[in-house]
Amino acid sequence: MKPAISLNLSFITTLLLAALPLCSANAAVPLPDLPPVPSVERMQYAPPDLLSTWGAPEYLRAWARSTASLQKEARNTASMRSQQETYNSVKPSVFDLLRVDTVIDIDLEQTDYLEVATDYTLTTVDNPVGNISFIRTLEEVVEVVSTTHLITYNLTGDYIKITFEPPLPLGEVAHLRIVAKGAPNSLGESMLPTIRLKGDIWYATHSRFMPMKNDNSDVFQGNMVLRVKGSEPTACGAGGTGKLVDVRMEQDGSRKIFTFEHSHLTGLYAFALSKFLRIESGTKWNTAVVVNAFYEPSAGPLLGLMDDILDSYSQWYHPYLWGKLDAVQMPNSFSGGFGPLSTIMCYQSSFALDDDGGTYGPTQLFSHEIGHQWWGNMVEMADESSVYLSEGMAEFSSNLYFEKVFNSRWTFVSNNMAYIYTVNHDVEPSIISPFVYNSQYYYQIAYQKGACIGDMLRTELGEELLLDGLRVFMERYAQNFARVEDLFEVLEEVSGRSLQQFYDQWVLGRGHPRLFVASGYNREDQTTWLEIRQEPGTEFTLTLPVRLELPDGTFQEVMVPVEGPVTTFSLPMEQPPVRVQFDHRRKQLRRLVPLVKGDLDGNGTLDGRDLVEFSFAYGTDIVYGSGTNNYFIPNWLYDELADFVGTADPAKLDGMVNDSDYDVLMERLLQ
Amino acid sequence: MADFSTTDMTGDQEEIRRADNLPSDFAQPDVPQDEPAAPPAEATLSDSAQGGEGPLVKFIQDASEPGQVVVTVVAANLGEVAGLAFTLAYDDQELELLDQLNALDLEGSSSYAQTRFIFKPMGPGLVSFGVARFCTGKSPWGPSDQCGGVKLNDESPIASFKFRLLASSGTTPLSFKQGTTLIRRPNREAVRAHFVNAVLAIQEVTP
Repeated sequence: MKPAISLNLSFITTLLLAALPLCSANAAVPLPDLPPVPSVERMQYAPPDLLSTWGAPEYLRAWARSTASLQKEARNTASMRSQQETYNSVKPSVFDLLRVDTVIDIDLEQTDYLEVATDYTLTTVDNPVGNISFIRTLEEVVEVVSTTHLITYNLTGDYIKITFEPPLPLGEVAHLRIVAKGAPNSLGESMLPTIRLKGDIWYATHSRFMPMKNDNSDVFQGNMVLRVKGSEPTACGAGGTGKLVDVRMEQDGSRKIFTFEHSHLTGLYAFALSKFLRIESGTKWNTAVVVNAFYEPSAGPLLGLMDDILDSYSQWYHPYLWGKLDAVQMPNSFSGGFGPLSTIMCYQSSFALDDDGGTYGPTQLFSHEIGHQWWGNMVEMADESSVYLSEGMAEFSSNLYFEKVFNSRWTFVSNNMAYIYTVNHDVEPSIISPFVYNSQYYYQIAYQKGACIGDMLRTELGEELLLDGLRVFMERYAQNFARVEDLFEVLEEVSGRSLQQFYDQWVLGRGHPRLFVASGYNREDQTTWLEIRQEPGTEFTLTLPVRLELPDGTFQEVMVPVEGPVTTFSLPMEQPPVRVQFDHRRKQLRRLVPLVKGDLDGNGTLDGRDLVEFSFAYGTDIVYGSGTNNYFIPNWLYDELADFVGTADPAKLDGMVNDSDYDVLMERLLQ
Repeated sequence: MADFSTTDMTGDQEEIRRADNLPSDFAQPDVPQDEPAAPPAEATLSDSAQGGEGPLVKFIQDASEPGQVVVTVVAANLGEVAGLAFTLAYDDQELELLDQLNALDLEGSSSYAQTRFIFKPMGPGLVSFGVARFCTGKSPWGPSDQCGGVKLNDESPIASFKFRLLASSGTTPLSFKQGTTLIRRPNREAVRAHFVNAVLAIQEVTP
């Protein structure tokens, strides 16, 4: 073993600019013995070159050049480019993290303060490693040492750049230790906030609370140890990634120590700390809710929910791998959820809301975050162009689970409508564009469009075939990295069908089809006719479900293949249908526009029946707000074919069906 | 029952729309006093089915004066209804439509619901009628039937049509045009009802 040597080149700079005192090496906390590194065969992706990834498909570059959105997106990504310049200056060699073992000291009497000591075990990939970089997530870097090799380091912006002198030879394993303390810096904050409150609730949570390797494309194993001191350490409970293998008090009673073992590969560690109660299910999945002592919801239904979701996803995708799942209750300021390995963290109230199929209760949030156990943890995103595999498929999983439990497409439909109605499709990036991350429409595209792409794949392939494909994909890429192309490659292989067109228009492409629709009944030849037009140059190819309501109260559904600028379809029927509905369950991401404005029942005639049909849509709004602060709430009763005119600006459809639309309808009816 | 005065109208707007919808000669407020008198005839409605157990929509004859006839469409056993529509077909060689009136109140006792209706000429001898319950501010999380409806279990008048008898004798049919009828419950479910056609017998009146 070589002696630990640390040469701090940034000493003077640190003193002058940050006035941060350097701590002596003995501030480092002792780490547990490192277990042997298991041999895991993994696919290796190089750390992404952000600039080249930005333009990876020439298709996207061409699109960006051809539209005014380029400037807008360039502005959006200005800060990202600035980070890229800094990153380039510390650009690391390619290396592979094998283990990360970290000890986190937490003083309950302090606010926004952590001391973190982390040991990294890393090796080369295909070249000697000259230098590597870590994000400096805490304010003060105390120590950077190697117990195996000669290194130097300096601090550059938010990075710690470490140089091996000489470069780490091919095939050698190196150990590094970084000790840091203080409050999270800005980069740390942007990843997930660290919250530390005095009093009855203590939280310290962070996805990358430790100094972190710069790119995401690496996974590792290791232990996370939390050492908690303060006036009431015994009252403290913890939840976090990995398996909680040990909880004990130090002999003098001053600190409570939690050890989380990560025997499976993961890209990050996370934890939360509070006066938590841990309520375990005792079922095969070892689910547990980790809740605040003062705010204890009824745990039984939540544990049942978690078990049921795990059962479903295990059946759909791949048996659950992690052996346990904690649902950790976060404060409401957390706002949403987070799904790191074997843990979900969700805002407080979501634990107690009623699930009635219409509200944002635990089913929606839990099923999304549990979805990440497969999408994002079992299969990791290879790069930032692969966000669909994480957020898109987690949201799809959630929507599909919701549909099956409540027999309701509410979540699919709301995602569909939100994407259609709130995105400026002129400046929308493709779902595999790295622009998505910095786009103002990140949520609508990555989550909502992502879920709908999954739903459309279900329509395209059928649910059984789609799930067959997803199972093969999971089996092939479990505990590995994947890109969106990898998923489609597997789906094509399993289905024996080309999905090129689907991929081109929904994954590579942007926007959605605008379908101008009309229908009617021809009494002479007793046929119902359908016509679907698209603006030349903007055509999509898709299958559109059309439902016909018959006079006897029954329904007939036909699947109409839509292609090119004009699609016509006729269907023999002895009597005219009572009503014709195009894609009434919103299986496609589309906007419908009536060719015959006011013909709401689709019988080709404007008459009293259209008034009756209009009355059901009347009074339904899906957009609320003042115009500058609009927000979106889907409404099942909203009928886009009844939304003729905007209230404030007649030329702008406003997502409301009100008297402005009624006046247009009456004008049309009385013509 | 049928009162063609404007006092039954729900408001000026509806009255204007109704007038717009009438034949132009009828819409003129001043009818010349020396207009030729209508043929002296009266009409008798027949072949209307008697009300049964199931949902039923039929014609009944309402108050008339010489040379004219008023028929009212009535419904029975429909249950709760939120909207109703049909197209009335008649022989424009035998009958001239003079006026029409919505007689169905779909508001009930609700303070937030409104009844809105339309009569629309669809061509010679065809007039479409629709009436529906309108509510604003429907909750996105509310049930699909949150606007509610009105129960039409007893025989209830829906709409009245006032015709001038152009012929002095014979018979003329009144019918609901096939494929144009529609009744919806508050949850939008379609109601299957029996629409019963009728025949008007016209007889010359002996002075």
